[in-house]
Amino acid sequence: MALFRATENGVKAKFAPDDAQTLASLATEVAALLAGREEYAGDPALDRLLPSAYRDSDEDAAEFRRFTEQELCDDKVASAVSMARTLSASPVDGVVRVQLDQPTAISWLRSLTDIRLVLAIRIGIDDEGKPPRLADRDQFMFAVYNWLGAMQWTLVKAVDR
Amino acid sequence: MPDTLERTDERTDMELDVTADLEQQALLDQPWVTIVWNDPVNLTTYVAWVFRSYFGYSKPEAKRLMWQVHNEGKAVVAKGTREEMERHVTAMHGFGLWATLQKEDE
Repeated sequence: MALFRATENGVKAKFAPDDAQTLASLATEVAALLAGREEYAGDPALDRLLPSAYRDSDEDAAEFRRFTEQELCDDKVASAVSMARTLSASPVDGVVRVQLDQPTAISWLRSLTDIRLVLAIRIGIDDEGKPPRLADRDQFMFAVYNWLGAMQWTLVKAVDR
Repeated sequence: MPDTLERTDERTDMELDVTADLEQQALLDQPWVTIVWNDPVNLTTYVAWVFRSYFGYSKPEAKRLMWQVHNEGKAVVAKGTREEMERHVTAMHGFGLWATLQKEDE
């Protein structure tokens, strides 16, 4: 399991190659979902990544979206793509070493959040944070979801100094 | 004295206009708020960190707001003009927090 630690000017962690690959694919999937949001319109994960800014006015919400969504989406995509690229580095001595400066570490916090939001929708995490009865494949996704939560916790601690 | 009468009428109209303007202004001046809603995914440490690093809240205040979101389902995290609140809501969405804006008394 990858644990982040603070360094002099950022954070670092070691990933097992399989873990790095799993996270890189998830980041790539989230980037693809956001980049293709017109094609995937109606996917509940998109509603959670790009929520409505106004609860009571569809008109205001649509107007707001028209002016802000593209940039917000571009930022999220760029952040996820960059994370996937960093994780695709070749392993050295059996591990993928990740070193991030402070701004990149913050961008990772955002992307980890986006990935966990999408996973939570896919798994069907309920309002209390518990999963429903899971099929075998979802057991794996739930394990990944928890793993990313633990990883993010160490990243918040490492960034927050 | 028709002149005086006319002036009085004018003044009354003007006063009416001023009252209407003030009412309009009061509506415009009514503060807007940014609300963050609870979700089952985001970590408490992360939410508190976002409130502190983005809004500049002290550690105890950021924690208090985070627990309010967690326990009461939502919390007002900022108050101001509509434009400012729109900026905050976009920023919160960038962090993956579920935020909306509305007029304060809604």
